[in-house]
Parts: sequence; C-alpha cells; structure tokens
Amino acid sequence: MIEQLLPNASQMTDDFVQATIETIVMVSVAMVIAGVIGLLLGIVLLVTGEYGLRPNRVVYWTLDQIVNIGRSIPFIILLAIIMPFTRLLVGTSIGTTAVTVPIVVGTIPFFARQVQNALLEVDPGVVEAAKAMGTSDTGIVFRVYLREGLVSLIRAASFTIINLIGLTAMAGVVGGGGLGSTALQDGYQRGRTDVTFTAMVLILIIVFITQVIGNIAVRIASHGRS
Amino acid sequence: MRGDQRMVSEAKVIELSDIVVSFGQKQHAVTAVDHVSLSVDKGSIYGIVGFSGAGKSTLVRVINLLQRPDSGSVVVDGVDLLGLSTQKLRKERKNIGMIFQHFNLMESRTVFDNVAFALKGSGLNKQERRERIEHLLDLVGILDKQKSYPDQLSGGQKQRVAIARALANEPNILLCDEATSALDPKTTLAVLKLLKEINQRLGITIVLITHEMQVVKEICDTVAVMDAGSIIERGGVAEIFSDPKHELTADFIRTATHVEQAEQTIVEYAKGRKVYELKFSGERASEPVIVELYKRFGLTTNVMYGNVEYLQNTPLGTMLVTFDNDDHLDSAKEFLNGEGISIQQVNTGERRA
Repeated sequence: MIEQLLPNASQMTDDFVQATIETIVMVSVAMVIAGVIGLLLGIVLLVTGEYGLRPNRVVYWTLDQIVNIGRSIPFIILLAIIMPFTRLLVGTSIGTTAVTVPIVVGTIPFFARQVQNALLEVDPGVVEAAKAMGTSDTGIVFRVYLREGLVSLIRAASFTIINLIGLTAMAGVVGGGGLGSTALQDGYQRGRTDVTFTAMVLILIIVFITQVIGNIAVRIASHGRS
Repeated sequence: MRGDQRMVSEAKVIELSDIVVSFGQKQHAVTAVDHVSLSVDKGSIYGIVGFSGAGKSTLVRVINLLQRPDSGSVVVDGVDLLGLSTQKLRKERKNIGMIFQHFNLMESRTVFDNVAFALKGSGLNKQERRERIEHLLDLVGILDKQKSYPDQLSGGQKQRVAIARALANEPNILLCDEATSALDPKTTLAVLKLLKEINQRLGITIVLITHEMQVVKEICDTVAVMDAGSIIERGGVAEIFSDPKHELTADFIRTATHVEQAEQTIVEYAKGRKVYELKFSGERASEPVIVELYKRFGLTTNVMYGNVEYLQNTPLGTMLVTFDNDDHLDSAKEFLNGEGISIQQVNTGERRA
C-alpha cells in the first residue's frame, strides 16, 4: 500500500531519517546561537529605546537600522551574499554546517525584533514600581522584563523556530542538507512528487511538534492564566 | 517592625523647593510642574488634589526622582536626592514606598513573591524574610491569599498587596498615586482606613495624590490644590474645607460634601424663595445661631438642609436656609460674619415658576 502510494519515498527511509536529523540539528544549533544573540540585541533595543531604562539614540538608531536591513534582505539572496563570510568562518560554503551560518545571520534580527516587541508588552507600571523600590536596571531587566515577559518570549521563540524551519528548507537550494534538500534535489528535480510530498509532511510534523511544545511551555509559564 | 507610637514632630520629612518639570522639545515644551515648593510634616497625611493633567502625578514622582525635575531641590529625610549617585539614590528609594492607581503588581509572581521582590538585597535570611512578609500580609489583612496570583484577586486585595510590598523595606514615607481611583467607594474607604492605620501605627508619612476631595476629607491632615502645574491653595483640611479661597477648591469641596446635590433639590423645592448657604466650622457649629437670628433681627429661619461633618475632629457644618423676610438681612449677614459663619446666596430667588 505505502509502496504504491509512495514508490520512491518508501525506498528512502534512511535518507529521510538522515535528512530529518539534519533539519533538527540545523534548527537547534541556529536557534541556540541566534537565540542568545537575538535576546541580547532585543534587550539592548529595549533598554536604549526612547522610553527604555537607559535611552541612547545613537546605539538604538544603529541597531534598529541593522535589524531593519537584516530583516529586509530576502533569505535566498542572503544565502548567496554571505558565502565568502561563511567560507571564512567554517571553511566551506556547502553542506549543513555552512548553511547554518546564513540561517543564524538571517534569524538574529528577526528574533531580536520579536524579543523587543515581547518585552515592550510588559506593563510599564510594573517597571516603574520596581524602580520605585530601588531595583537596579540589571535587576529590572532580569527580574521584571524577562520574568513578566516570559510568556511573550516563549511565543516569540516558537514563532521564530517555525520561521527557522522554513529557512532550513530554503537552504536546500544550495545543498544545505536536511528535508529541504531532500524535497528539492531528490524530489522536485527528479520528478519524484512523492518524495517532495513526504519531505513536506515531515517538515509539517516538526512545525506541529514545535507548536505543541511552545503551547505547553506557555501554559506552564503562565500558571494556567492564559 | 516599627511598632512604637511615634510622636508627630514638627520636622519636615519632605522638602521640595521651586520644582520645575517640563516635557517635550523647546518650542513645544509643556510645563507640568511650574515652580512648586512643598514641605510635608513628619507623620502627617498630605493630600494633593487636582484634576487630571494638573501635574500632581508628576509632582509626586519628583519626590522619589522617578521624575527628575528640570530645576529645584528635593530633600527627603534630610538627604538631597538630586546630589546622589544612582546607587545611593536606589538605596534612598527603599525608604520611600509607593503605591499606584493600577497596583502594578507582577502577574507572574504570587502575592508572597510580589512582596519578596522588594526584599531582594535587604540582607535578611530566608526565615527573616518569610516572617517579615507574613507580618506585612497580616497587617494589610491578606495573609490567606499569599499563594494566589494577582489576577485571582479583587482590586482592593491587589492594592493591599501593593501596600504590603511598599512597606517591605520599612520606609518612612509612602507615596500614593491615585491609589483608590480604580476602586469602588466601599473598597476605597477600606483602603483609606488601612492607610490611616499604617500612618498611625507605624508613623509613616503619607503623600497622597487624588482627584477626589472625598479621599482628602477622609484621611488627610493637610491638603494642597493643584491646577495647571501650580499649587493654588494649601492648608489644614478643616481650614480649607471651611474657608476655601479659590473657586476651584470650592468646586472640589462641593462635590465632596454632597451639598451640590442637595442644593439642586432644595432650590427646586424653595419655589422662588431666596436660598442661602451658611457654613460654619469649629465651635461655631454647635452654637444656636438660628435662635440668635430670631432674637436679634426677628428673622425666622427655615432650615432646608443641614449637614455636619468632622474633619480631623473639627466639625464643619453646612446649612441651606430660607428666611421669611429680607428686612434685616444685611445686619444679619454682618452678625453672622462676625460669628465666623459665612453666608452666601445660592439662587436669585426669581426662578421661573
């Protein structure tokens, strides 16, 4: 039955397992690196913004522009433009490791903006109350913003991861490995529709699982409040 | 904890001098606080009343420097706050508790942890911290809710948590920014009662911002009326209520003493007769004025409405009256004024039928 419906894909179980692992590794590595850098940038944007704890026009304006530009470059072009940098950094411009570099670079500004917006949702009144209690700026960032904004941050993170999965699929174009490569190179380019279809279903499953985990995390973080 | 009954001394605990705060760029700058000076006696409850936009919230934020003034000086408990480093200012802020209109509790923390937040870096060990927090929650009457989250509480309960949090570092001063404005009348009274208790039991000086004269009437010793960035009138509550100098102040008082509502009904009811408002305060309140008016001037007084309120133990009375004739009214007015009773005509007496 399965062999009839998926004549090619059913012969490639090992390839799919391999590709799925590659995708998960790429997403995980990219999310950890982009997550840390994006979180830091998001916090700096928040703190230096007009109504931030330490407004600083120069820093804010510069970062804001970098983030805007970073988010405006279509990923497929970023992939090509960044190649020399990738080669410099990881010694190669093809394969899973190489493609992680543009994915990280493409995700940082995206996540930074998400973090900034998530933290801006924190009630300014609570921040004011913390100031009135003599809390330091660092204390306000960690004990107020990150804590009160946790639910929004988790939502931002799962949104970013799902976006990331999309980027890894696109990376298939340049031989990046993962399910995107399988769908494009083993499926589409060879006219094997069932392979493309199977890769797509696997990607959807990963997206779905990410969403479920995100929702559970939100529920835990909000003590059943939302 | 500070359990002793403190003597109310004459010392000034807060001294703001010539404060100016403006917002916006040069040409479009709006002056929110315009050369205001204010000093608050230790142990008192000081009310600042005004409509929204009068600058009172900005002014109260100058006291703990949440709002830095463009010019002026801020001395709290003898310390010039503007001269302090960030770090020292943070330490001084622990001496100034603050509560807000919208409570500003942390939704992600329990009631207990909201109060614990204020105690970070207090040097107390876990056990001492727990004792202090439980004591505070008990003081504000909400100990049984310590494991709840703010969104499981009513407005009044949230404000109680906020009060406990504000008191965690044993401050000498408590700033209340429209602290009862989001509460219903009954809850407002309960929270005001709690604030009064805190003032009396712990000797904490309270500065309270409100747009409701009712709140001032309830607990304040001293009141300042703010309009357009300036204090237009200030003084003891009984004094201001019995003899407001400024029209805006009088307006605020009328809404607070319910005379306004009574007036409308009575003028309606008086059907063309002239209605006068008599106001008296202090010992005058109990003197038999009406009898005197009859004896001296042959005036029969019809009392349409009477109300005596006690402000800081000073009786303050308001009467709406009509007289049976106008013959000796001028001398009667003179007599009343001599007795410290103000008389004012409320209607023209020529109302359409």
